[in-house]
Amino acid sequence: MSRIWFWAVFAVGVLLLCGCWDQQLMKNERNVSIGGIDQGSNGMIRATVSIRDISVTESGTKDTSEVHSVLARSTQHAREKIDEEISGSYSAAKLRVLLISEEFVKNQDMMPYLDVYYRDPKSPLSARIAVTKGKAEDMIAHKKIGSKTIGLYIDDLLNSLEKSTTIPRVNIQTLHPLDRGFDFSLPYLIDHNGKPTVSGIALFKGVQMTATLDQDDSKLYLLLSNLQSKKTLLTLRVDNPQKSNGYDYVSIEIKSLKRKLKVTVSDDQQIKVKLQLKLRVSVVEDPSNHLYSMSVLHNLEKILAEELTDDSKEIVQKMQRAGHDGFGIARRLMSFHPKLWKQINWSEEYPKIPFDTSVSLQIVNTGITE
Amino acid sequence: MIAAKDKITPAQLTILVIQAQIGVSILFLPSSVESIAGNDAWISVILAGITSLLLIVIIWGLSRRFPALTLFEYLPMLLGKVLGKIVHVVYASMFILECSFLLVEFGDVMRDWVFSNTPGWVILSLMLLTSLYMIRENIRLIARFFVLTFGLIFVLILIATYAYRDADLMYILPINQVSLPGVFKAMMQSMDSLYGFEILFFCYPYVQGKSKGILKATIFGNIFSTLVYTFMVFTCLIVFSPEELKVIPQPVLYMVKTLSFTIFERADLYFLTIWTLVVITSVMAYLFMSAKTVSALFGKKQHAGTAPYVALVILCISLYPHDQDMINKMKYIVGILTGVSLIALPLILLCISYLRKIKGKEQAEA
Repeated sequence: MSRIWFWAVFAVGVLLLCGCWDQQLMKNERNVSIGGIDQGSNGMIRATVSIRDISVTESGTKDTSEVHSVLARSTQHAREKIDEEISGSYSAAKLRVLLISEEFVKNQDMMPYLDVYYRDPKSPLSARIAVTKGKAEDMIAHKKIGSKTIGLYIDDLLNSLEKSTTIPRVNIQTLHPLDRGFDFSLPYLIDHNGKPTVSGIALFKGVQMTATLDQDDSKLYLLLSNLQSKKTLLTLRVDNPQKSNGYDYVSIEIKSLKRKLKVTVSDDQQIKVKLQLKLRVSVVEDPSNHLYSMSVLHNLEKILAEELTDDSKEIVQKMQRAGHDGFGIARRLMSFHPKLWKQINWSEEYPKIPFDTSVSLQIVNTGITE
Repeated sequence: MIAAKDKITPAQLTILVIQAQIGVSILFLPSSVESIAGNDAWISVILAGITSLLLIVIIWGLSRRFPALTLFEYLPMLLGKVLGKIVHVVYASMFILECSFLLVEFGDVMRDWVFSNTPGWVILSLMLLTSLYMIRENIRLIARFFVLTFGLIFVLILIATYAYRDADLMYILPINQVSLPGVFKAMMQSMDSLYGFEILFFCYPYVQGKSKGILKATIFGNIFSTLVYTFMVFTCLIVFSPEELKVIPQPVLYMVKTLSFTIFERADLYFLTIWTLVVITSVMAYLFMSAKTVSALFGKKQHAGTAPYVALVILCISLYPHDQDMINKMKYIVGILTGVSLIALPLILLCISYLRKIKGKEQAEA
């Protein structure tokens, strides 16, 4: 009998203990959907957040966002200061996007300001991260684009561009900066007529932003890095002197891709990189050619391959000038040539490495007309 | 004579061994081994698996000579009464400390990842009370519970496998970067996670079938746990760069934290929930062994009466360390104790048994 009592008291105790200490109710939390970091004065940062509120009324749900901006010493300090400003308790757990201004990432190391994201178990490590031209604060100040709040809008924008291989898939976790042997690149947002738009990607050298690529180049850059996403469309120029302008462009969709990246070290310690990209594509738009003739088709293949090769070479040169090792050449040297890696000064060596870049292309499909 | 209804099958023994071996360290092992052996950490784990295989053979060889008895019934026969008691105390303190250490690490993870404000004693006493409820029963019921929860280990593996999305095989190259002593040191470190096979000391008389079958079952369990550990270590090595692993104490959780599926986020919480069950089976195994050892020390046949007191002692010990320094010290002490009682002592006992030709009576086949 006493045993039954014991277990009964135990069971009631356990039930009553639920949420005694670690309980976080959604209704008391103010969830940040987008955050931004700008350079402040005196080595401080200006942190801006937009808090998303959903109010349910008889006419349906309504999204509103509330923007707060503070000058703080660090990210955690900013959180505390914002927490003082707002009603309810601050929570970054539902953060979707973190914006960092170009000025900030060009002038200083952003990693110290991300530390709190890696340390806190509730932090949103899968939040996307992007660089803004101009101030992040101004971007967040838009509050709403159409019917979407700014956080949701930018998140969806980045998501759809990730799917079309225009920007790399990055989040706070994949940014973890320790000695990976490759450099990351981030989406580059601009304000275009009052709407946030992705103009391409920002290339980083270590933790410092050094260059940008436009959308066309960033697509090719991602293909060269073997980071193809669900769908990739390229629209290329094919000069056609006989006809009017409308006939100048060809659009292709990448069906499959094979990338070969070979890093060789010769006996006299010279590093060489051979980069080969083999594409199988389908033509989705080509007003000037009728591709039923094999010779026309092969000719088009040749022209496109040459153009892509030229573009790729330019991209690689730009990367080398910017000191951005997006292909992970350093990782390969660490893994396969550890002795050499210890001897060289990588940031000096990298821009001098000769790249042998080539793109070959095969048309496998032309749609329902030829 | 042990009644047939108390016996377990060799398959149940396999799962008993696996569940006792796989516990908290599934989270800790990758970074602790990596810090010593670098890219070659996975080799160390495999080597540790082979070493524990040898230890299993020793324990089996010893138990085979006393097929109807558990360790503490034949200890005095081998060592005499006084020395036997001393060794018995060593074993008792080893099991109690090992169990406490398990709970310390568990409490740490729970505090850091989920319940940052809940006091440690609440979580630990809930764990211990649940274990206590189970282990007051006989080994057959415990084995059944372990079989029931065995499938959850595969769920853990499944969640971890998803992280291969971000994997880069190049992180484990170059192989053999670290010197041989480094690999060996890391092997000793990973031995700590593979302890648990000593449950054979307690189960041997209860297992149905021939001694060869028992050896096979235990070895199979050991191979399985080694593979699971190796898989976890290997996955962490190719997902994180070496520098990252140094600052992340629980890489497996960190790895699954970013996974976001269509309907749910924070996969680490799901992982932790299942992991808690995996840990509790280890706690049960150790609590069972501690209770058995202590009750034998006081000359009691049944362990159910002693178990609550043992659990209370374990709770007190596991609440004591409160900073990393003390945890490290405790780890060191546990390391020495397990080294003595699971590597050195069985070997010595086996030698004595062979040299002095002491053997238990053959058990009549049931």
